[in-house]
Amino acid sequence: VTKALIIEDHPDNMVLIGRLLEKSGYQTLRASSGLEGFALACQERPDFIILDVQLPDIDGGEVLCKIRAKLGDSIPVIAMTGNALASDRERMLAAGCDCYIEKPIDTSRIISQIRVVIGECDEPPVC
Amino acid sequence: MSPRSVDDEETREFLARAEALVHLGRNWVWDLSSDRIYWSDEMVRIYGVDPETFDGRGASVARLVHPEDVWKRERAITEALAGKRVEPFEYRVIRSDHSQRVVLVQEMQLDRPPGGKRAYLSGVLQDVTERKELEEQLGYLNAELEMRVRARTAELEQANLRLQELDRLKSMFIATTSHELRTPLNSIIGFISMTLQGLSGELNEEQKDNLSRAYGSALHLLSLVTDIIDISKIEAGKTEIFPERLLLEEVAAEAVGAVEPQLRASGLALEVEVPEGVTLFTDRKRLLQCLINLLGNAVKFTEKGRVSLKARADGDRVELSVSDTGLGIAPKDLCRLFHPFERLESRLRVKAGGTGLGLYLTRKLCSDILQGSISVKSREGEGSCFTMLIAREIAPVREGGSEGRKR
Repeated sequence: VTKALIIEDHPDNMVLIGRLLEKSGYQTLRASSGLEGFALACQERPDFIILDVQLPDIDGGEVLCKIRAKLGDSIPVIAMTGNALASDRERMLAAGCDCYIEKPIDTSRIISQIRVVIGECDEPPVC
Repeated sequence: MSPRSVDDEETREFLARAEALVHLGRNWVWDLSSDRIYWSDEMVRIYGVDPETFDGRGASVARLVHPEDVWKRERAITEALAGKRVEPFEYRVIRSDHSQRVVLVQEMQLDRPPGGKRAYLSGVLQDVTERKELEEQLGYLNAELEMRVRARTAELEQANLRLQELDRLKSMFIATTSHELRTPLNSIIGFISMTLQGLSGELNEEQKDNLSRAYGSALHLLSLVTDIIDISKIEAGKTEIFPERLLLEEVAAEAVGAVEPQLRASGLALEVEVPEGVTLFTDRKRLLQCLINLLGNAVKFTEKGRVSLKARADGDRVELSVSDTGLGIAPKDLCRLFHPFERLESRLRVKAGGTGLGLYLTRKLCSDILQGSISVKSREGEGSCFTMLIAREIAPVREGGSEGRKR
């Protein structure tokens, strides 16, 4: 089974993304803070990570840097933010995320976007 | 003032000369050779001397001059003796009763009648005491007025700064609260769309219809909140600008692509005339936002005919026009068009939807970020044409509000 780690502090968004992924056949691991997410990533080595940019402890950019430093580039990371700041986008892409999605997420497109990023299908990424 | 004696030749000559000079308008004549002075009655009054006892010698006159002003008089005499033109000057006279007068001396000059060895100094002396006092008072009043004006200006400047600060705080407050509104909206939109997709089980028609309406309202609310965030950020000077090298035809194609679904549903024709190979250095997202907004409006307010997007480069500017064959705008409404929350009355208003912020935001984006302007031409019943004239290259960092551009 493909394991997804969701790092998101907002409970409703966590449930929404969790359900969408599970309905598409992924197994989900859930963390509601940056450090918890990083620990879980190291311990569980998920197949991909959904990462919220605004987190209560350390922000998404920092989590991403820690993951890249410790685990390398092998795990695809999809960054997500409700804050449509262009600077966030630049920062996350520079820190090495594979895809950047702005909320509200398009529930009809997100799974196909993820499939492209994690290499399950070949369509060009639309994010 | 009568000379000491009138019988000798010298005195007669002096008097004749004095008379001649008085005819020329002088009111004092000083015979330097014999050190005698001729004064008009007015001069006697000004100096406050007793004509019977005053000896009329230069030294006696000098004693009536305020000690601090003696140098002015002496300098003028020296200049006159050297044959120079003497500028009008003032000095204070102290009378024997200790009262003071201010006098103004003009036209002071030296005369040497031909043939003689005599020299006369003459001029016009005026009592300007009252005038000086008035001037002084006026000067004092002026200074006071100026001081008050300055104090008031400073107060107004303070008030103005405070207003600007409050305005900025207001905009920041709106930006922050609006941002907080987005989070729950995102989750509402996400759950509704997931359910509508049937991912949580089959829905009947009515359930689908209910949810579709809720979904539409949530999207509308989200676009309202997003517009408000954009506007308040621009107003607070907190907008981020990310200029990049762009190809005009690509941005145009992307904007057209974004309104493609509505366009297809409307059955309108689309006309695109964009020159190839025009490069820009500007904020892609903001330019797209403006174009999509204008194209979206054109589609919404046009029932039949066509919508067109035309562009041309003109030196360091680029002109982009979106025109339509739609309802058009009444002349009385044109001026309100770019104001926030102004939605014009029209039969398409309800169907068209919208936040009433689109054109206001577009204008703000044009002026504050794309460094240009937007204008509109329209004829009611025939259509409208919105024209953006924007900078081909924008400065990467713009001076925003006091705290703008911190990131």
